Amino acid sequence: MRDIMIVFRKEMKEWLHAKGGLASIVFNLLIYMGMFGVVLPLAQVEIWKVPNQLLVFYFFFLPSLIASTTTADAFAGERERKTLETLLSTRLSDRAIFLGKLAAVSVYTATMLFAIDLTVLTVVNIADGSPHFFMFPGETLFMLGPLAWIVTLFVANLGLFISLKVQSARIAQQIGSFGSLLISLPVLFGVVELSMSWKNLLMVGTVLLVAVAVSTAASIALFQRQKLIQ
Amino acid sequence: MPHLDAIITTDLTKCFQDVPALGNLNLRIKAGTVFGFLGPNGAGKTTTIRLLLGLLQPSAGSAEVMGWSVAHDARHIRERVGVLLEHHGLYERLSAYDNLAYFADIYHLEASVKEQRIKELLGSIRCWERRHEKAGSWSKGMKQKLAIARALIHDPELVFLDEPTSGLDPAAAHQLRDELVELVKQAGKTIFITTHNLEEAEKVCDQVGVIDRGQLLATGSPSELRGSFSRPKVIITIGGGAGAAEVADGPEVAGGAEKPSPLAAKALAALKHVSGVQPVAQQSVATRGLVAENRISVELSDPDSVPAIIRALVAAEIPIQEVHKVKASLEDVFLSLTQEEGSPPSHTTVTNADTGTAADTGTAAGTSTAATTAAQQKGGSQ
Repeated sequence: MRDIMIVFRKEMKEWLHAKGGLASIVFNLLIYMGMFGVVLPLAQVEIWKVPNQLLVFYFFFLPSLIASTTTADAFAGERERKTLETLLSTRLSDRAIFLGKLAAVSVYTATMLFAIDLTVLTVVNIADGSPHFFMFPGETLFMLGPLAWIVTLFVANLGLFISLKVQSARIAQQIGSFGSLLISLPVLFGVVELSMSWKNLLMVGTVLLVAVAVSTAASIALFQRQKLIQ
Repeated sequence: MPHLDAIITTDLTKCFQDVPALGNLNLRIKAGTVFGFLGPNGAGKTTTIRLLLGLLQPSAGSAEVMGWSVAHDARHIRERVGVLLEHHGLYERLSAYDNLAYFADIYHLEASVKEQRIKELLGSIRCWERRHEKAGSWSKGMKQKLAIARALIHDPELVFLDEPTSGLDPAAAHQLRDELVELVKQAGKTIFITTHNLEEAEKVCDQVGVIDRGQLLATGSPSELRGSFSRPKVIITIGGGAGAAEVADGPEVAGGAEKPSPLAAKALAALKHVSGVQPVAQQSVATRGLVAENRISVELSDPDSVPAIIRALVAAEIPIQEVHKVKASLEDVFLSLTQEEGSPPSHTTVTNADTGTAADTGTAAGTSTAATTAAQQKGGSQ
């Protein structure tokens, strides 16, 4: 656990010290908040009151987009910057390196999503104009919370697979973003009908949870020093 | 208890998709010594380090690092070694301090020890004042120093340094080399250093191994290898008086590959029949496009043949200005071992019970000095 935290802290620190530093992270967050927290919710206020399948954008596409970007940097980026082999030459276990990075990607993505969701809630309340405070329905909260988190973990694992196969973070990021968009589009455009009932949502959650467990186990098995050194 | 041998490899072999990168490597490196692994690019030096760190699995053979098997106990090895690989591997977005702090955390250094070590190491490379600067903003030489400091952060017993001065300008390399020697020798570490900088190897290493095309060609101390694989030379400067005029009228130098001047040719001919002597080349120094000075380089298989050389030149009426005896350099050894193109490299054992290293392909490490290679046999027949 201590080793996982060491890797986690380093990852967070590296993001904070990336080009542009904290200012760049805040700027990105403001863009996300403006686009997905203000503009889109104002155009579709109703979907926040009654669970709608357009929310797939928020619980699937958005987590995928943010997680794939950060995962690409965490794995392919480390190889691209030629720091991976030195890291692998330390006493850290493969598992600690992998889980530390996975935790960092998850926390970073979850923080971004929480900020966006909070903005949405504020905007919907203002747009509603009701004197009573509006809170999302339980199904929506489930989608924005646990389901989005599970999707984040799943995408982070998939991102690892991609990162292991490509040399640059940019390629990994593009594949991840394009992949998540491809999966989201049929639902967003109504080609695939998705019922927003609790039963269905729990089923989706369970399936994704199993997928996360399987992909995490596969990722840990795949993330081996001897496979990473070329 | 400290291990007497820091590294032992037995027929260590690595193939990449049936292409051999390292073949039957047998090494024995004593703890507390600086071992230099010399070889041209692609010789197998980095592959050896990766195998010794357990980053690659051997295709055949075995290796032990400080008593731990690389195949089964790699994590124990990585806990006890410091590493500077081909690329410095620094996190350029992080400060110098944070880079060292991260590795101190990885090795579970206590907070007070961590602070002290970082201060000590950054102080030793004179960078304490710059500790909050991003590592990416530093020069290549400074980054290399920082990477070496990082490799030493947990006070490892053994340090692997892969081409530590590669890409540095001569002044920076010289300074880094001096600091490296000071740093490691004070702490009494075992150092495994790969390089193709022979001057560096000669100055820094107690023992060296020469590798080419995945095959270990020879090991021994630099002086042992010089003694075994190359002979002393005599540089004779001829000319002066009547000869000087003759030399001054000699051929023009073209790209340094001029024909021997008549005087030099006469001298070379005179030396042909002197026993224990192998005339190597005429060396000329050009001044204003003319050969102003002639030098004959002569390899001595019999170190006592210098008087016979002088007698032969005097008998041939060659004016002699200067006779200068020079020791062969490690570069001569390296070139003689690695430049036998077309023939598979042969292995050599140059072992010395006192100096601590042995290498051989077929037998266990010996305790007496012996040098038997194709290269030597070839040399002996000259």
